[in-house]
Amino acid sequence: MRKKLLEYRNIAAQFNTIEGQTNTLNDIDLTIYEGMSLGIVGESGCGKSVTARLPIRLLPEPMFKVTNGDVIYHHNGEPFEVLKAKQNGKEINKIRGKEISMIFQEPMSSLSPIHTVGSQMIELIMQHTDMDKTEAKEHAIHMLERARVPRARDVYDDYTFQLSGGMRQRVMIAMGVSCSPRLLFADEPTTALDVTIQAQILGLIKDIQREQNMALVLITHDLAVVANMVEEIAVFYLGYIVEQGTTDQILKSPKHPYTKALIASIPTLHTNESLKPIKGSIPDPYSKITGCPFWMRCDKVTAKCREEVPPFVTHENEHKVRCFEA
Amino acid sequence: MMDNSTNTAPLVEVEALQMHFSMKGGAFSRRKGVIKAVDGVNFKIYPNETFGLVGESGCGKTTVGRAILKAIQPTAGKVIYHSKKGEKIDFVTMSNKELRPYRQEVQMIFQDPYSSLSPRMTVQEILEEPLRLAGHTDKKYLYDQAVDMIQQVGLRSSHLMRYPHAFSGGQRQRIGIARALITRPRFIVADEAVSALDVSVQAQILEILAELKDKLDLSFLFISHDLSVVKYLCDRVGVMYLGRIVEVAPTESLFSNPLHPYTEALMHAIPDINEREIRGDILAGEIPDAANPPSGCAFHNRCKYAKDKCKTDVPALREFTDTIEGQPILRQSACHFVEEIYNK
Ligand SMILES: Nc1ncnc2c1ncn2[C@@H]1O[C@H](COP(=O)(O)OP(=O)(O)OP(=O)(O)O)[C@@H](O)[C@H]1O
Ligand SMILES: Nc1ncnc2c1ncn2[C@@H]1O[C@H](COP(=O)(O)OP(=O)(O)OP(=O)(O)O)[C@@H](O)[C@H]1O
Ligand code: SF4
Ligand SMILES: [Mg+2]
Ligand SMILES: [Mg+2]
Repeated sequence: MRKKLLEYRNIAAQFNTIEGQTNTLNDIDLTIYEGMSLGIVGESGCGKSVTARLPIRLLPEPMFKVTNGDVIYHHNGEPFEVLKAKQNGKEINKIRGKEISMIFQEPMSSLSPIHTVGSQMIELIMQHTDMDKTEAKEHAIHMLERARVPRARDVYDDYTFQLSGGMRQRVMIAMGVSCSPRLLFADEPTTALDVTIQAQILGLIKDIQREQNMALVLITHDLAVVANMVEEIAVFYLGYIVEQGTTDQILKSPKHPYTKALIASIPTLHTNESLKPIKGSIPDPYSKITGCPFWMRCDKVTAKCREEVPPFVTHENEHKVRCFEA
Repeated sequence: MMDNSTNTAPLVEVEALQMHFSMKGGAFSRRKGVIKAVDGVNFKIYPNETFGLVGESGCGKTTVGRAILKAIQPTAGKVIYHSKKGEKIDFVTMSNKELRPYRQEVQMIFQDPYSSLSPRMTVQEILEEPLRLAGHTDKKYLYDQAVDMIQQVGLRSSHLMRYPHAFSGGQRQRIGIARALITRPRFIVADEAVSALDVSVQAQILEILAELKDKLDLSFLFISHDLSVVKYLCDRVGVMYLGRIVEVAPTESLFSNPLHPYTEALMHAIPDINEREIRGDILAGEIPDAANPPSGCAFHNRCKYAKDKCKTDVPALREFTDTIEGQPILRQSACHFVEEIYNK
């Protein structure tokens, strides 16, 4: 029996801004089990990063508001209702960075420009472990080395502006796993990395995941990246999960028209085909859409699709799809 | 592109460009020595050409881009720019004040959009700023330009009043692209401009860039680690290794027939959705320390063809001719054994 670690139960959430209200997350129902690896894929703006920030409450409340559902974190076997806690209270702080850790999409958004890499790392490590300063420093350098940061001992003393884009991303990765989290959200962890280092870094994240029995949620727009890395994939579209299943189910026998289009749009270097971008563009998140979120771009659209939101239906072997025609 | 490059004047000529960071480190760092981030780089970019710059993390790509546009002052070398008015000027020796009149002709798209977009300005202010700096004051004109540009990159005019933090990563990257394009520049340094974007937005942006390139007669230095994007967009490509250029070739011939062992290894390392194996082992070993580069050919410790000479002699960037569809084309490679390895 797999043990539950984090549950999103029918989450609906909005941003309320001067432009209006957006339905950023819709009926998100997702369970992350201990030690599992899950890929979250989908186009820009579909809600991937917001989903990752929700359980550690790193969203601008009250502009961001959860209007339905619960998020449950299973803390040492005790269910903890994340949304009932205070946003920056003691309980959340115990989880954030220690139990649930995050590698952010844009390294500079979470690295301080005025502190050295080392001082940022020891602060984090000392906050969440019993190590003293000397131990924390050695641990930090060890983690930098594991994340393939070249000249780790020197980089420890560097400021982040002195590092290349790819080095910053590796520093983020070292920080993200330095306190042995039980769950790691890696938000586009390799977009700034070239293929050779990307392969090494993904290998490293996978190693750490296995060694520490850490659960991994890998967020990416690059299906080739998740193909190698995760057991399961959830495909997001406009704040909905439209399909979820094992990596094989999603990549080899996708059922949702959006997933199919997404796979067809991947450019490859080894074949000489040109890109097949998905037709149309993502609708304005402020417009009120009725029916299936994908119907405007879908080849199989019927009258029903325009009127009703399709339910998230479980097909054979736990393959879940939100489509009337699947 | 290449066939006319021999008889057209270039737009930008980078000559012996060098950017050494000295690590005296002051009170805060124990680091000593010199990081040769860019160490004698030469290439030319022609009008209406997209020149790709590829290579592993830390090899100096961003530093080249920043040094060309004088975001940092290079330690040596020349960056000759042929201006709109027909002047031939060297950015390296010019002061910021002298450069100001040319600022709207050359623009940069940054690798990390988060750190380059001011958090205190709305998107409208961010987009209008380069036009203001160029002397435009008419409010309606500024607004119309901002609206047009934001739509071109697939965002909406209602987004103009938002602040950068209220966007997703991919949306922020598109704001950076809109800001660079708004002054209708002649030359753009695009540093990993589309790497953070998913395929469908990426395809859309690449199309926009290709379209504007022809419409506005633009040239690009297109820095990217994503070889499939480079293959799609670039006319010619330069491959960098540890602060130097090791190969330059028209895109098609580079991909079909690399003339440098490093380029060859780089192409083999590309992951493919149909292959579940992570192919990290092909380009084994680390990119060496830029503060302490290997002697001879900097690639020799990772090169499967390396011989004794490679450990001692620095290979020069030499010219070769190749043919594509009967047309002669010019290529460059910095390997001692191009002739033997590739039958040239
Ligand atoms: N602070 C905010 N205020 C208003 N809207 C926001 C805010 N943060 C995010 N959004 C909106 O919420 C939606 C989801 O954003 P999110 O960052 O989760 O996208 P994403 O799937 O991670 O996209 P990307 O691949 O581009 O990073 C987007 O439309 C974004 O504009
Ligand atoms: N301001 C600086 N001070 C000291 N060293 C620097 C500075 N800027 C860059 N470097 C060093 O120069 C080298 C080249 O960095 P650069 O950012 O140009 O790499 P890059 O090829 O763009 O890599 P990436 O693909 O990771 O972005 C790196 O070793 C980096 O640490
Ligand atoms: S010069 Fe020698 S080491 Fe360098 S690429 Fe050529 S064969 Fe390899
Ligand atoms: Mg995101
Ligand atoms: Mg860079």
